[in-house]
Amino acid sequence: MPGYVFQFRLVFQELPLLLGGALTTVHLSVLTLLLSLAVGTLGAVCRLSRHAWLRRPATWYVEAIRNTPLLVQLFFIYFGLGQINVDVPNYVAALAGLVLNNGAYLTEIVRAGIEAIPKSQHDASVSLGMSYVQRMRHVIFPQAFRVIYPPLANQFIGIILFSSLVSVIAVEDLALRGKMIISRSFRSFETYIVVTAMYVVMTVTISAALKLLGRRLFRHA
Amino acid sequence: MVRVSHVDKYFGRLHVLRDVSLAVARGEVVCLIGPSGSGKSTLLRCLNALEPVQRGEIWIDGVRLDAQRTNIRHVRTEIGIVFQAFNLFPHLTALRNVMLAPVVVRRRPEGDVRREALALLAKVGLAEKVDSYPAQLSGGQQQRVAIARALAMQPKLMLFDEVTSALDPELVREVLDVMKQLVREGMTMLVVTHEMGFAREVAHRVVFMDEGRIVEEGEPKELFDHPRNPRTQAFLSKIL
Amino acid sequence: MTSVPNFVQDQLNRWDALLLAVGLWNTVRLCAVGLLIGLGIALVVGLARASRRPWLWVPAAAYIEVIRDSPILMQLYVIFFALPILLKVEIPVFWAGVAALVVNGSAFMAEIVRAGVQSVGRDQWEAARSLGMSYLQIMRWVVLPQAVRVMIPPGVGLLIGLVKDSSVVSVLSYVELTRAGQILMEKTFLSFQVFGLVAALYFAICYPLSRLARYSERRLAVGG
Repeated sequence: MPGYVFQFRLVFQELPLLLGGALTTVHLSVLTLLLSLAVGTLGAVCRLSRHAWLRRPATWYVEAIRNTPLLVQLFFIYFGLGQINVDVPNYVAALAGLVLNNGAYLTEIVRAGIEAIPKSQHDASVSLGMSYVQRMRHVIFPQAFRVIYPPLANQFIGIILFSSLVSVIAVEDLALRGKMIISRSFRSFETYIVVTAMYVVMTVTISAALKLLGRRLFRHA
Repeated sequence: MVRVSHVDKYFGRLHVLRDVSLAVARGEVVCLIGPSGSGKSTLLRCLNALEPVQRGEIWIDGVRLDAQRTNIRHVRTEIGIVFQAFNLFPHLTALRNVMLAPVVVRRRPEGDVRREALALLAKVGLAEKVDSYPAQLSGGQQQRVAIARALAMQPKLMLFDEVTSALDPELVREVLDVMKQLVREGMTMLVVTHEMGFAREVAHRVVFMDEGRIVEEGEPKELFDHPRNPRTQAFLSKIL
Repeated sequence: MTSVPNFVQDQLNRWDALLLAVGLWNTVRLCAVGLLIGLGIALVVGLARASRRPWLWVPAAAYIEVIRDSPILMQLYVIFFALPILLKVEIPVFWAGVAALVVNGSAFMAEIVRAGVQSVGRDQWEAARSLGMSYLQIMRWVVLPQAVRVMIPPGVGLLIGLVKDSSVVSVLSYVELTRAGQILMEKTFLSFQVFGLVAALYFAICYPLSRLARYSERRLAVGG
């Protein structure tokens, strides 16, 4: 390409800025995962409940989230909070949106995990005199966790990738830091390549680490 | 028609065919018998080049299978093979199963192929089932469709790989009847089978294989009534 | 605060409705074109990935892996901002959006194609090969017809994902449905109502597809 000289050096000079953004991406994603897991567990229990007044709203929640885009959900919360004059940091609004979104997907994942446990396990623990909570805590959830783990790890990767959308609501994650560098250096090609590569590296290493962790955790299963 | 010359075959470290040599003349019907794992099915599959051989040569109608210039696909159109598991195409009706290869591979006009296919299916006794899907047919019916499908390509040689082993006993007879008719019509056939009655009745020659080798071969009367090799005797005494 | 239906009745005038209609139409256009082109590429990449020849499946696997491990937002930025500098051409926003959807969608779709093709048993290949059929003939007449049935439920799921992903193109100021919502919100400041309405419109497209996916999964699993 005549007339264009690659200047990756300019991008690498800004590495600290990018790494700071990557750190934001990571801790935002981890927080999202933990909170979504709580929401998902609650949602799954509701979805599986005998009581329609618990089951139906949970189902509507899941369907509403899964059939609408994350970006619209983020805008809904971010601008909506502005509309009712609630002042929260962008980070919090982003976190709320991500948790709302992933909570629905995790509801389905946790539900599948619980449903995968055969009825015989329930029968056995009931016949030992365990209450619902005891059953869930000591027998069902530990086994369900093994089923949940692979899709959960997958979902975490998805969270990292989709968290890039919070750059649109001015949260300084890796994606936004990239844009900021471009507005200063005008090196859009090099910057975007580097930022994309950083996402790929993050994703691949975390994915591999989770797979290894999974193997160690479930060695005896 | 078929000449197998000192063939050796390995699956990894497993030596499944040991120095196998066999010849089948045009119009001859040869039955391959032997215990499981003796290599009979493997030998059959080598004849169709579904499996490669490590040593030796295989000649089909004057064409050497592993020669560079050999168009394997063309050779395959001259050989018909019927499998133990029928392997019909589940998404096509019986008629279309039979019609597919002549239309697509030989590029013959559909009208002609359709007529021939209908005739073939009638010949194997399935005239009313031409528009049925494999899932709607019994095992014996599916196997007869498979035979019609192989015959549709007008092969010079037909290979049968334990085609009745997966069938309920009542359904075996209808398939054997079709095969017997083919014998009467002078088809060159190589049949791997456990049906000793069939072999005794129609085979020109019976070949006994064990542990990858051809142990004994001869006319059915000779081999069944007066087996010479002790291993042949042991095998026959267990099944007859 | 007015509810969404009241909002629609009282606050939206004809031009606003037109804006939303245009946004909706552009979203549909993005997805339709993206799906068509994406399917074609996914077929090629998926078959390459399913192949046993290294020179085919390695590049295919690399492509799939890199695309699946990077955010669609970044893919969009690379295509719209970075590529023109490299190729010295300007890429219209619509086609940059389509390209991003194609690139992203085809990587996921290729895996679906691979799984579908590999679900057709070896004995089908053997039977077809023993009749003398070539690779292309086997694909066309025996394998793909059977593979397609397996591919439909996840395929519909992917289409739903495509519709949702199209909202990302709004960052390029292209007036698809999400961007239309943003414009409307900037005018009325009624974020809950506007984005509630936008979400409802997306839902109206995606939910029926969701039901279709679940229905097809049930039908195709039992029929066999």
